[in-house]
Amino acid sequence: MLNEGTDVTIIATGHLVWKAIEAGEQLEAMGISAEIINIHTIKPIDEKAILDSLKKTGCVVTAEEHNRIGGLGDAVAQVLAVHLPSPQEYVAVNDSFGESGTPEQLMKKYGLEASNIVEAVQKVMARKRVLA
Amino acid sequence: MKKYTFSEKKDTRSGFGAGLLEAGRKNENIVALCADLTGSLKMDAFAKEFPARFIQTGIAEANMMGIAAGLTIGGKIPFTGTFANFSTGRVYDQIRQSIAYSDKNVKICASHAGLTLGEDGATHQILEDIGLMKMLPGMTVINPCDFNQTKAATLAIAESSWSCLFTFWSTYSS
Repeated sequence: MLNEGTDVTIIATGHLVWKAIEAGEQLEAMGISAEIINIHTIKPIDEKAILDSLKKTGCVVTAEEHNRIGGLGDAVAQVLAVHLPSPQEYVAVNDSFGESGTPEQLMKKYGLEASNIVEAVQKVMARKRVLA
Repeated sequence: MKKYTFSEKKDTRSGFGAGLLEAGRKNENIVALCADLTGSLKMDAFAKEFPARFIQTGIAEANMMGIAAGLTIGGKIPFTGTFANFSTGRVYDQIRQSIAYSDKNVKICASHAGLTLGEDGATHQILEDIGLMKMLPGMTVINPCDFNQTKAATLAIAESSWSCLFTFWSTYSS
């Protein structure tokens, strides 16, 4: 747990942990309280940490430098689908291969920046409001 | 929001190199194998201090996985090192049959994961490594975020009895 919050849970792994912290700071300035979890083990996944947080916040954004299929996002979705169905948004590579470029160029092009996490948070929170 | 300040730029792979050396000093059963990327994986310090416990397999990743699986039968704890793409996709069959199905305690250490490998492009950037390994029964998947977490995870897996994919990045941070 990197930061306690009440409005949304952000679960990130690898590089995206740093992007999640940046996003959390931007969200705070917008009046949104983000709980940030730095999850280093994808399997077995820490179900308790996910569920404890989601019971509080009611929605989640997952962030990873991996295909959106089969990575951290799906591991979290599997836990939620069984125990606590909740709105979720993915920040991940959208089922494509990469290409040559600097790390910064690629993170931007493939949508893995703090701004992408902020957008995903706004989207998931809107869905949470509809459900409420 | 809790404040996190940037103190020092240290690459994750150096966390792996430091952890491997420390783990090697603690336990003489730890051995390391590398497929011609010793410098890139920061395994050189281990290779220098424990030359008899380091195997340079050359660019023969599939063989490296087979050798690692075999070494466990004699009680060794092998750490294999190469880029994430060559640690998972290229050697999926060897990992499935010789390590996962055979229940062998091999630590598959995979650097340069994801897009941030950068200029080497799509042939070297794997975005399926976590998914591929996650689906293998009994395989643990660990993905640390920085130098400290990578080092801590290296020491932790050295003491565990299960096989795992340990995937991390190269130089890029924050």
